[in-house]
Amino acid sequence: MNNQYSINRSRRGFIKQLAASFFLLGSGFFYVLIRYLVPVKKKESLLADKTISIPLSDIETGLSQTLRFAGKPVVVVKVSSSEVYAVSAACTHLGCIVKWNNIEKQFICPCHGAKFALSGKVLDGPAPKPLPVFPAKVVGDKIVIG
Amino acid sequence: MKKIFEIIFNFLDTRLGIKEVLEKDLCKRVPILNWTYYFGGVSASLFMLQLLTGILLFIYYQPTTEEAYNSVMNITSNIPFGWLIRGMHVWGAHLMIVAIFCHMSRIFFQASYKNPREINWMIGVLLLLCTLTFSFTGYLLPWTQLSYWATTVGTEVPGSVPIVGEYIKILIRGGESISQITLSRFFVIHVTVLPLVVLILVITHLGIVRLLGISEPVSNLSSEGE
Repeated sequence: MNNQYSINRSRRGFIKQLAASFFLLGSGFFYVLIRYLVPVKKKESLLADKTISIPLSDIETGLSQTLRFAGKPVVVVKVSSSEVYAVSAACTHLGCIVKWNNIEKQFICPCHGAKFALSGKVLDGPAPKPLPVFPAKVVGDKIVIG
Repeated sequence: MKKIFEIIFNFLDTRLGIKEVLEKDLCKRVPILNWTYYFGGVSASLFMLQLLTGILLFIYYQPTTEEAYNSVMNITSNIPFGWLIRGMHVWGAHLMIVAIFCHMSRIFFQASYKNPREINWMIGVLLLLCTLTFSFTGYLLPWTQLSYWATTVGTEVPGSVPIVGEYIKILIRGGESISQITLSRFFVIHVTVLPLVVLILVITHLGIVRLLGISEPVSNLSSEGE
């Protein structure tokens, strides 16, 4: 019989090649598996452990300043020289940066008009969730966030 | 090294008689077949891959409406190689449908489903239905807009059946609309019921193939007689 699939290599050689390729594949997958299972420290939590501070005089009473905290935009409002608030500035609707409106005493999103209270609570508009609030206090002549 | 292997082998052989079983399996005549015969094996391999990657995803996935989307995003962007595991699961699912379709086409066009292999064809159809149910239930689990509305549409389909349709729809959804109850149901079907059923069916499917032998093409059978 004419066999076009004639075998050119020995059974032993074939098994050796097979074992070697399984070993390579296996060790590659083992590396992925270990990396996948070992718990990672989140970047956010690493940053959130830190606090940032700005001089109290940087913000005028009743006004606000937007800055970066834990990799995210935060709006800091100075109600009085002893009362400050820090709220996530990213609107929970579509992520636009909300602005503090001192006349209406609320955060207003310029994109779709969502309104939030100082506590982050949704007052009006399309936002589905309140804005996350960060701890903020006045220490000496500085505002400490986090 | 060789000696240790021999000791272990002899230990097992004297107690379990594995030499006879292994010889029977390793010295079996394997028919020479072309590549169209590989799709069954490809489907089975993909299923094993789905089991493995599925277990790994299960470690970080949380089946609640609050956390489902966040946990999937966490797997994709925070967990090392999470994107790879999730990608393998998604693409494995797509390829499994393709492989099963090719496998079924080969069986159909070569008439391998005929007597005495009808039972295996029926089991194969059940396996196809299970795989499609796998896809349907798995689609909801990331809890995205796409999965939410796909499940809404998908459960509306049985809802259009006269008289019983509405009851079937509510039974699948666990209520009037897609909610946490639906997610829980789909999750349980996806990770416990279907893997068990498919595993049992695949073992039966392969057992019958071993019992009856591979349905060889006519050209193979005639060349043997020469």
